[in-house]
Amino acid sequence: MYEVLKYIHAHIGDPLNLTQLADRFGYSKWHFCAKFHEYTGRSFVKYVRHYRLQLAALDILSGKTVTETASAYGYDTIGGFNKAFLAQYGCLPREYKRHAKETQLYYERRAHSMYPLTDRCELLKQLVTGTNDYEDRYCIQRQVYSALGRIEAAEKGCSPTEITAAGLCNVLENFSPVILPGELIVGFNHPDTKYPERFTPTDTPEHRELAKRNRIPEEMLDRYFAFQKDPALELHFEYRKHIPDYAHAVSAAPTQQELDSTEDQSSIARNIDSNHTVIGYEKVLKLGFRGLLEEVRAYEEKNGPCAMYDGMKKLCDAACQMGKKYAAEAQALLDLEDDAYQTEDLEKIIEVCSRVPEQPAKTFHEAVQTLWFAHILNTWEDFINANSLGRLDQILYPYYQRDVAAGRLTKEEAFELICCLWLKLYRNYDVQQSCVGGTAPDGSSAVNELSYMMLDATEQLNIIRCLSVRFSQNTEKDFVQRALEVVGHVQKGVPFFFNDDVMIPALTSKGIDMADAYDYTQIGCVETVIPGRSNPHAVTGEINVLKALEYAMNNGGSMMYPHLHPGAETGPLDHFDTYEKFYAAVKKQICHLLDLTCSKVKKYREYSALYNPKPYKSLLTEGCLESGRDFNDAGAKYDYYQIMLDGIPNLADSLEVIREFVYRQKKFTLTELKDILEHDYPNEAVRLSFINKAAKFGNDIDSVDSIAADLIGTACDALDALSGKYELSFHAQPFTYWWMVDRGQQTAATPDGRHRGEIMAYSVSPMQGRDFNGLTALLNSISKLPTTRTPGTTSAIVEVDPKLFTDRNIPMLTDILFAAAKNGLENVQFNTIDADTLIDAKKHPEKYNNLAVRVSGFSQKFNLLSEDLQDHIIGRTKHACL
Amino acid sequence: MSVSAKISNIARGSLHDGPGIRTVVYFKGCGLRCRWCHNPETFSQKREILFSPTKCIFCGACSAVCPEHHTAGENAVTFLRDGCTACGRCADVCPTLALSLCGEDMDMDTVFAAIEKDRTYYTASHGGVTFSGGECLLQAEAVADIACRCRTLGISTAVETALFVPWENIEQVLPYIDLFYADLKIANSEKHRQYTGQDNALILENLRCLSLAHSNIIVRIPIIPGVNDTADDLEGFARILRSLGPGIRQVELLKYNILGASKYDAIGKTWVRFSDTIQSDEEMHALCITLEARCGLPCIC
Repeated sequence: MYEVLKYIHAHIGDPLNLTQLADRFGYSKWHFCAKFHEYTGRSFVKYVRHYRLQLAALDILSGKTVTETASAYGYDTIGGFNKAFLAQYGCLPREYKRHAKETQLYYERRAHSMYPLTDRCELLKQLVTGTNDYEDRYCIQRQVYSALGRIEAAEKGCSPTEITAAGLCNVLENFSPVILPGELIVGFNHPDTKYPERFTPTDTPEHRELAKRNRIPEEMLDRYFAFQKDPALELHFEYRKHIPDYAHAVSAAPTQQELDSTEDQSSIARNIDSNHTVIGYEKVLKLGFRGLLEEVRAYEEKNGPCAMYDGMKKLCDAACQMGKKYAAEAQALLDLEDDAYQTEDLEKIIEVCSRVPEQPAKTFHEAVQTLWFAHILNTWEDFINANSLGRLDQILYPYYQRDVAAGRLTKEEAFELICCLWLKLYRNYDVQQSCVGGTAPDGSSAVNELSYMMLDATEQLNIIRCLSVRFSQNTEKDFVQRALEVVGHVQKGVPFFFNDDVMIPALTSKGIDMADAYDYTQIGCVETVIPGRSNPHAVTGEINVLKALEYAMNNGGSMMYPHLHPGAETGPLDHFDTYEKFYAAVKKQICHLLDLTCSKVKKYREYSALYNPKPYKSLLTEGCLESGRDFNDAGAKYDYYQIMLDGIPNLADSLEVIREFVYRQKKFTLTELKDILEHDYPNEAVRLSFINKAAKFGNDIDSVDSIAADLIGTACDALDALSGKYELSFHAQPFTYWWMVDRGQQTAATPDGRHRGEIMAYSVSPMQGRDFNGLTALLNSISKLPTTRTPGTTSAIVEVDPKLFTDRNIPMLTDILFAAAKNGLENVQFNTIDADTLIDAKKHPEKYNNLAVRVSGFSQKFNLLSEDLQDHIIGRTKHACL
Repeated sequence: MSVSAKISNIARGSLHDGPGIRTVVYFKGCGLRCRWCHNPETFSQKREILFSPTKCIFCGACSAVCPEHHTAGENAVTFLRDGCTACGRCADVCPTLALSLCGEDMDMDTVFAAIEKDRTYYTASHGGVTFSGGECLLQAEAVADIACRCRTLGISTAVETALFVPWENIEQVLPYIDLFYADLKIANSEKHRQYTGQDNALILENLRCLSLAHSNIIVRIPIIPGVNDTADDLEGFARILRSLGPGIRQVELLKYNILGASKYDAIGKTWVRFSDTIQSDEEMHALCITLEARCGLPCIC
């Protein structure tokens, strides 16, 4: 069929006839039609018409007259042409031209990927995303070799830095390279599981079998299991404290003493801040590990020897061998192989891997391969989890440009390599974020060909791939529109969008140099980092602001756990004779919680500096080499802590209810309200009136939106003050990750109508079902938040019907996004809704007030539809999802 | 003193009521009673109580404030519409929004404040505001007032109208409107009366005048199965369309929809279903082609 399409494309100007074409390619007419439809998803006639009009549109944009174009594509009359054009583009040719000129949206040109997925990538995709039994696919080499290396070093009495480095070196020394058929980019594959790194093999026949498949020598495995089985567990537990991975596990679980001092764990939490980095992979590309080794030596000479430099040197040495092992493996395969296709690939792998990552990358292929090796090493140091890659389009562009200019690389080849990298990164729970687009320090757009290509790869592969797009008012509309199309086509909520015009001032306000701020990127979900120059301590501290309300109503006591008294004493309820007094008490509780969490962070920081060194991350982070201090010992140029704020929208809604019902209408006293909440709304009518009769965040209503803004402002002020107190830099991050579920479960009923234990709102998105004024109102509400003070990003997910993301609507969605960004929106993610949500929406309409569906030529709120129409749409959605 | 009008709803962020992103202002009150109308709450210009029994939790708050019109039992509730003055007390106390008041007097300052909130979006998308209803031109003074203000600020304006109003009303808004969506329902006057309660003489006369007086008009024809989709009907439409002035830019055929069903319940009226199915894209397309061939104007669906 590919040949058929090629033929059609070559003869698109000629009259094309189905019968002749079927004959030509040796099909019966019927068979041809069926095959064609299967392959292209369209009938022959529609396909040809669509393609012709696409070309016609381009011709018209390039300045040809309508008459000329119509006849060139086989239309006898202008009327017929106009009509067909109208059907496809929703406007007449001349309007199309005018509109395109006005808005610079030559979007049809880019509405679909420029590059098809190659057979190689299709095949690799099947291999990577295959449905094999997941344990079969585990690679346990890293677990075993790393542990053995670390234990050995620990037994010798080495320092924590040396222990970490020894673990990593041991993996590098012993791992056995695997090259999958068809691979261009080689290296360790992470299997299709959520936390492969947390998988610990035990001495069972299955795991021994697994180890055998992993080519782990028996004697090493025996040693590993012996260590595990050692009866002197206490002793080994001591070891474990010095083995960073285990140390994480230990530090993540609060000790009894910590539990006692934290009392109510639900209000503050101190999470693990490891494996959230974007380090300077660019440096490996530029210098190679050989060059890095020289650099370490130079600093050692200058600053005097220390354990960190020692560890780094060993690491660089071992890393130099990484490529060579793959080159050797490829050579071995080549000796066995007689398939010419494979031969070419293997020769290429040998060529690339015998140079990198030891030497600096010279070509695009080498650059991509180096990047992947450098990333593997990072994930081997701690977990894979959220170690991210940064601005890939910027990092790789110089190599791409050089190769294309020199004629060494075609664009199709570059696209294929990107797809290969994407497939390497594939995991079904993926927070290995990368970023495209953005603004250069001179204010111009940094979007380049690779930015587009990476969007194309995301669309074409259609796998889970964590990708964000940075944009500002200076970014090409065409690019943002293309990104939105990918959201629509992929239906997985990627990419996310970040507004440079807000992020960069937010970062500089925290003392980050302007030039560095322009280079920001994301880790994992939405955490902000200056790649290769910072330790962002993402998701380190967290407070649940709804607890502040609970404590304010209880003079510091917990409603959920009545025996606990974790809050500050803000006085009994009858003291609050005005709303302002009560509000002040809530703010005081927020500051108190922030102080608690920051003091924990401070303690954790001291622990981490001693026991949790990261020599590899230090090697690739500016400031560490220079100062001789570890990444986790404030060595990075920028060292800051992101403190998460949960429940801001719920607290704003709750305070609005209190102001309205307690202080304005005086329908309840605070004491009565407290009673209602303690009993989790004994009267449903009261709860519903709290929901329906007071303004809610997310509807562009100033009274309540300003509360949310003020709450975040309060937290920012408090964190600024605490930064001085604890001599650490704290960034506010109104982001909940998925802990709105856990924190919700730990929180009593709140005056916004939220039941005891009910999930709270995600980040700064409105509470589910409480926004009903449409997308623009929602975005306006979020834009009112003090976004330029929160470099940790105010994250928002906007739920939209996938049918909104049609090619017709995308230009308008692009406009919406730009306008919202102008208003101060910081981050937005679009969640296109699936049928399951709609089914749930039908069962529980009250939760989905804002859900609008496209019915035919118009959209309508789902709740307002009659039951059979709802069924109809659910049915249709399911169909659309298949 | 600002002009005020009966408004049933202001919807923001619409993508389907004209170019770009739009705010739609629904005016209450209409001279026609099209039996397929999906906005029946805008028939009457009077305030009305909308009642959706499915949302009711039988709390009895309404019967406590207004025992004359509301009775609430354990699991049942009734609302006696006769004699209700739509004072709104019941809607005020109803915690669930099962009872709500539709058609409050809104002064144009308030309406304008709502419109202004999305200005950035209009600018970015070449969008604006659309006045709809009901028949917004029954309250032409208000429309003119607000459209004039929008124009001053560069917000583009559109009107959705059935044109069943005195020509003076249309004339009043004419200078301030960028785009007219004019409805054409049934060509045969007698049939028009049968389905909408009024004949179409005034409408056609207005449409003719408008097509000469304004240059940016899109005629919209809702295709109702079994009512106006026969060849005769189409020929009738074509005849009318051929006779119009140069202002008609396009003809748009709308599919039948059953969205209004629950709203009829809410205002205590009976909904009539004209068809069990909704037309397919192909059927609509076929109608489009036929009509376009006969009227000489670009048709879309």
